[in-house]
Amino acid sequence: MGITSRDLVADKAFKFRNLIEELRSRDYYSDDPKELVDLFDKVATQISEKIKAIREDDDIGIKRINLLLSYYHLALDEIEHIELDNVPVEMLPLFTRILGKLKLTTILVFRPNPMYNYSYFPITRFINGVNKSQGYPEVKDKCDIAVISFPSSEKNSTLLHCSFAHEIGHHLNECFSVAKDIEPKVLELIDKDLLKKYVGKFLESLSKTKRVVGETEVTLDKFILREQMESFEMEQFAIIIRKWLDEIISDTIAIYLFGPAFVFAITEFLLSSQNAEKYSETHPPIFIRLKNLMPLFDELGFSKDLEKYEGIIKRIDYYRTISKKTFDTKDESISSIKNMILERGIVGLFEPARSLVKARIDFPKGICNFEDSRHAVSAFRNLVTGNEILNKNCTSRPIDAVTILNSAWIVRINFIDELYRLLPNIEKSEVRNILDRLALKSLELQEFHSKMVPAQ
Amino acid sequence: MHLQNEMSRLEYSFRFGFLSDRIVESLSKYEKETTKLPEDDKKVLGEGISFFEMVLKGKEQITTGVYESNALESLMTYNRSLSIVLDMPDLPKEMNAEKIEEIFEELKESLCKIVEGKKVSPLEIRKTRSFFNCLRESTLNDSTTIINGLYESRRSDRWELPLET
Repeated sequence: MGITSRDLVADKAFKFRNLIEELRSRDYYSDDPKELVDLFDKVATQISEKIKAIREDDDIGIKRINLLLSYYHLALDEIEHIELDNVPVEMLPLFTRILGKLKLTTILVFRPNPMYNYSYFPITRFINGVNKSQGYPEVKDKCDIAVISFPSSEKNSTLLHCSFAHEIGHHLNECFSVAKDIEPKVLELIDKDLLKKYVGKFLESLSKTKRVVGETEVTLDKFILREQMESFEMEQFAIIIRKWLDEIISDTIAIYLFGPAFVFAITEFLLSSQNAEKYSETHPPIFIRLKNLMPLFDELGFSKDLEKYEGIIKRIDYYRTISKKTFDTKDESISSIKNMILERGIVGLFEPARSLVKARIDFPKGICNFEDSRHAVSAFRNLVTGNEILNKNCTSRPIDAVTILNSAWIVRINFIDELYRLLPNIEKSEVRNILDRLALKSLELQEFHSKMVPAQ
Repeated sequence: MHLQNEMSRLEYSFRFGFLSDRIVESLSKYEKETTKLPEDDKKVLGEGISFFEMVLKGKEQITTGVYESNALESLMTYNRSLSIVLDMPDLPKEMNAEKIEEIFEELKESLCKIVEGKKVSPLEIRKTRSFFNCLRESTLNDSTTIINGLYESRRSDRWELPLET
């Protein structure tokens, strides 16, 4: 009999289950990662059944299960990085509250990422999508589980973690089916004349390349069905714009959740090391993200709320300048046409996306309380936690978490020089780190305070 | 960053990969079975019919410019199926959009006939099976490429700053 390919995959599945058991015995920051371990346990059972059922000579089938197992192994590896004390747990009640207000029961698992990045991964949905095609029922769990990762080296970077709002935005985008319902518009908004021009340019470049087939010399464009090429390029543009739409919607949701703090965090994170015009297939350039965010910033009244802070106004003006960039040009090179198709497509989606976000998601009223913020800013400037407002009768009331985060950002941008002067013998990075820790402590105290029994 | 690009591509390749695995399995059974095809297999072939409906919907949306929900997935499925059909043997010498649409209709029709218990010629079955076999292989290649890329991006000696949230 010997060892067959199917046996090797069965061994791999066995080891996968062992790893699940090992992960189950570890301590985590809460019970949430264990829910994820349980989810993988269910998946491992399904895979073992699948291996038993598959024919030994079904090479493709065996390879596919092997790949699925490799992928789940990789996903499981993500849980391995979660330990008891490497997640900013002080911030988590805020996210639970946000989800609770929107009546969502999702379990968000927070994971330090060895790569310098924030990310969102709706794991249950991925598993259910794959299960459906195998004829398996959906994994019925207590509820939906999604993993949100953050750069492991930034564990205590409270202010940068305002970028979490964007990742929560991805989740809300999926739960409230925002991008999905705008999807037909993605294809509608692809400029068909530009697309034809783009395909024409591409075929033109191929027509200059000659090959000898038999005894005839032909140009490469003759091998391509123009209709196939147009349809394929349409798909490629639509895929990119659809991904960009997810990002734009998540940004829009994030500004409604965290206000200016989100805009400061995301731009600081992105602009610190990348060009405003750089983009990828999954992410629009920063200038396009700001083109969407800045009108919202004004519409929500933040420019007015923050007008007394000179440093902040300068920073906002800088963002506005970046947001005015454009790919629109008279240049008709193939790359310029590509950029124009993408920009026109995504910009045309800003308004439908905003309208649907507002219509579908019932955001809490009053994103940031700028009146309370004055007290928190004052506390942070004095290196004191900014989590409460003291009343004259020696009682106090907590400042809400989003206001605390916005206040810390105001200090970081507008009053940081003041803190440097206050702490002359400490490295500037350390001063910024102190502000981060103060903000984190404020969130912890705020949460504690909000649970206290009111004074009789 | 929503881990969308790789994840949704991977989900797509697994979804349609497993589906085509099951369809090929059911078609093999149909060829061998002398008795009636079991209901479970009919259900699988029914999913194959829905697959071709999505392909044809993709084609229709490109032609008319009127897009519906799931427009992108229909378009992706149409393009992938188009590439497979253009690689299939015994194609007519002159190919155009209408001829390709006819081929999809024929493939769908053969599945419909099997589900309805009507007679289907061995040539029709061979063609349909050949299409789904190509889909099996192409989705397997996609999954392999994506997963290899994911492992590659996590190599311990690699320090990356993707900076995409």
